[in-house]
Order: sequence, then structure tokens, then C-alpha cells
Amino acid sequence: MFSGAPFGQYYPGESPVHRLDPRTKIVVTGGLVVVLFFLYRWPAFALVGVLLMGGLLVAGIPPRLLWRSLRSILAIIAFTFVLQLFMTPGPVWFRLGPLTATWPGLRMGMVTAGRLVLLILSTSLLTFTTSPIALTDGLEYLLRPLRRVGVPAHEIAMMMSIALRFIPTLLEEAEKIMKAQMARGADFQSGNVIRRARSMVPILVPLFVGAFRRADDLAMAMEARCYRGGEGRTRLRVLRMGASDLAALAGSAVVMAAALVLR
Amino acid sequence: MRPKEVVVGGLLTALALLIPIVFRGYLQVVIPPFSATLFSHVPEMLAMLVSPAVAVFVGLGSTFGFLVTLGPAVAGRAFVHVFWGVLGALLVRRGWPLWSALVVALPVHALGEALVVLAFGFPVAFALIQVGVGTALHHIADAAATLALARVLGTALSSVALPVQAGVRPR
Repeated sequence: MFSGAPFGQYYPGESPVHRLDPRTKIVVTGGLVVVLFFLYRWPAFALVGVLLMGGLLVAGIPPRLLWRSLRSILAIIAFTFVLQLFMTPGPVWFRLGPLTATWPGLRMGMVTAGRLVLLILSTSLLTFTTSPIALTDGLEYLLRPLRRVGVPAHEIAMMMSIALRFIPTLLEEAEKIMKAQMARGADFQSGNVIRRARSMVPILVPLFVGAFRRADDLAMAMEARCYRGGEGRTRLRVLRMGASDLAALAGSAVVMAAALVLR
Repeated sequence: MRPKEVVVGGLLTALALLIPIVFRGYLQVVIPPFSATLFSHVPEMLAMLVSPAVAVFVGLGSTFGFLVTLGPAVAGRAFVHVFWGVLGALLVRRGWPLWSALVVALPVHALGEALVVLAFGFPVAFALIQVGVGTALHHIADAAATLALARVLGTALSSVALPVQAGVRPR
């Protein structure tokens, strides 16, 4: 029932982008997301676009996967474009009944749409080339300095690992509960949204009860193995930054600085 | 932080990521480009009963998860859960009943999501009316489901020593 549910976008590979340290990719993606909000001119967008397309090409990501990422927000992009086109004041481009499209609206619509597309491409490049576990490892390392101000970096990463580990299990459990309810004559698809929401209660309750019971078992197992958080804990996979990471960081920094100059 | 809190936070995060996937086809309300899946806030609302730290974790976890799966716009809206989640959890910890903590969290939730949508270039009227009001209605529906579920969980899990506060009114 949920076997085709789109969770996680990791596309396994051995490309240079795949082999980069997850911290490098998180930092570059974070930088790009921030920089994109400051860009308004096409040369700046083109520069970031070339960097991202280069990364996607090197990573060998199939175009159909990229299209799938973009398709999910196509309606938002189109709606944003139309809103900007007709709601930005300025010299008239054309009229459509009571609506007036303006030249500044056209420009703003294209800028906003371009920004959204590049935002999706940048986060997709990160998630296509980095496994969820590597991402949480990278996140834990990057959050480490914040431990001095009380941010529990290890616990955040551990919680994320538990969440990612248990999603398939809970998905399977949800499917099992739904099938059991359907075998008893439950109908989840007819009626209005309130009726459908009420019909989902017999699924939600066992799902949550099961999850809490599982949490109790897991916590007991961790305590039995003397789990005490991140203090003094060693790691199976130690992250190491190499020359390629430094080159990627430096190259991306140059492109982002150039985009900001051209903005 | 106790292992139980970490584990409950992890499983509630998993449920927060899973509910929009599992129930999308049945419980999604779409008023383009606004979309919402009923019950998707229930894990964050239940996290309020555990502790403020778990509420923050579930909010951050769902932000990270949605960034990985559905992109930055949805992740931005999920990030707002951190703020109203921690506010509600702090109120619950101070002895407020869950329903009143959920009521106080409502304006923070609705305004926060409207502001995130504004950052993506949507006009003010659209962000405030469609997303703000839409989010408020979604919050009310999920709060009702959470209150009902909290009662059931309090009874069903009485034998399981979890950090979750049994019943609707905590100690």
C-alpha cells in the first residue's frame, strides 16, 4: 500500500560529489540557501545555476529524479509567478479582464520562480548524494560547538537516527493496521474530510500506542547497555575532510561571493 | 537528557514525518498552493506532554525530515513547530492543562507559518488569510484529535513507564 511512498531521496553512487564529507555538503547547501534570498539579477542566478547543474551532472543524478523533485512544487511556482505578475504595480504589459499584468510583475515572478527552482535543486543535490545517516552524522559534528551553550548535539543526532530507522517499521505497522481495519469493513475513502478523519481514528490510536510501547522497549534496552548520551562515546564511522572537501568549499565560496557581487 | 526522552522524541519525529505520507491520500486538504494533512501536528502536540526538549526535537526533526523529502518551503513551515511546540510544552510543565496550552500556541503557529510563506515571496494578504487562517483551522482540528488521543494513551499506556504525562491534565 505504501511501498511507493516517497521517503528520502538518496540516490546511491560513487561520484566525487557522493564521496564528499557530509559536513561540506551541508555547509555549502546552507550557504546557497541563504545567498539565494539576496539575489535579484539573472547573471547571479545563472552563476548559482551553473554550479548546481555542474554538481548534479558530476553526481550522475538522472533527470527524471530531478523532475520528480521539481514537479512536487510546480503548482507553488506557477501560483507564485501568476500572483507576482498580476499583483506587482508598474507599467502595464497586458490586461486579462479585470487583471493587469505588469513588466515589474513579470520580472518579480521570474525572479521568485527562479529562486524556488534553485532552492529545490540545491537541497536536492544534498539529499540525492548523501544518505540520511551520513546527514545526521554531519549534523552532529556541525552542532558540536553549540554544546557549550547547552545544545545536546549528540541527542539530536541520535533522535534523528532513531526516527529514520523506525520510519519503515512504523510504515509497515500502519499498513498492517489499515488492512486489518479494512478487513473488518472500515471505509477510509468515502465521505467528506471530517468523516474520513473520524474513520482514521482506529488507525491512529494503535499506531501511537504501538510506537510508545516500542519506545519503552528500546529505552530499556539502551539503559541496560549503559547508554549515557554522547559523553566519551566513540564512533564506527569517523568523518574526515580531505583535499576534495577543501576544494569544494573554496570553489563554492568563490561562486557564492561572485553571485553576491552580481546580485 | 534521559534515554526515554530521546527515544520518544525519535519515534514522535518518525510519526510526524510519516503521517503526511500515509494519510496524504485520505486526509489532505488542498487550497492551492496551500495544502495540509489532518493529524500531521498530533506528534508535535503530544511531544508537549513529554518535555520542552522533546517538543524542540520533534519540531527540528520534522524540519530536517521535510527538508530531505519535500523541500525547503514545507521544511520552513515545519520549523515554526519548534516555537509553538516549546511554548506549549513550557506551559504544560507549569501545570496548564493541555487544551489551554494548545489554545495559546495557536496564534504563534498561524502567524509563524504565514511569515514563512511571506519569505517565499507570497503577497501579504494571501499569506495572512489563506495560510494563517488555514493553519489556525488545521491547528484546531489536530488539537481536538490530540486531546482525544492523549486520553486514550493515558489509559492504554498506564503500565508503560514513559515520560509522557498520563491524561490531559498533567501534574
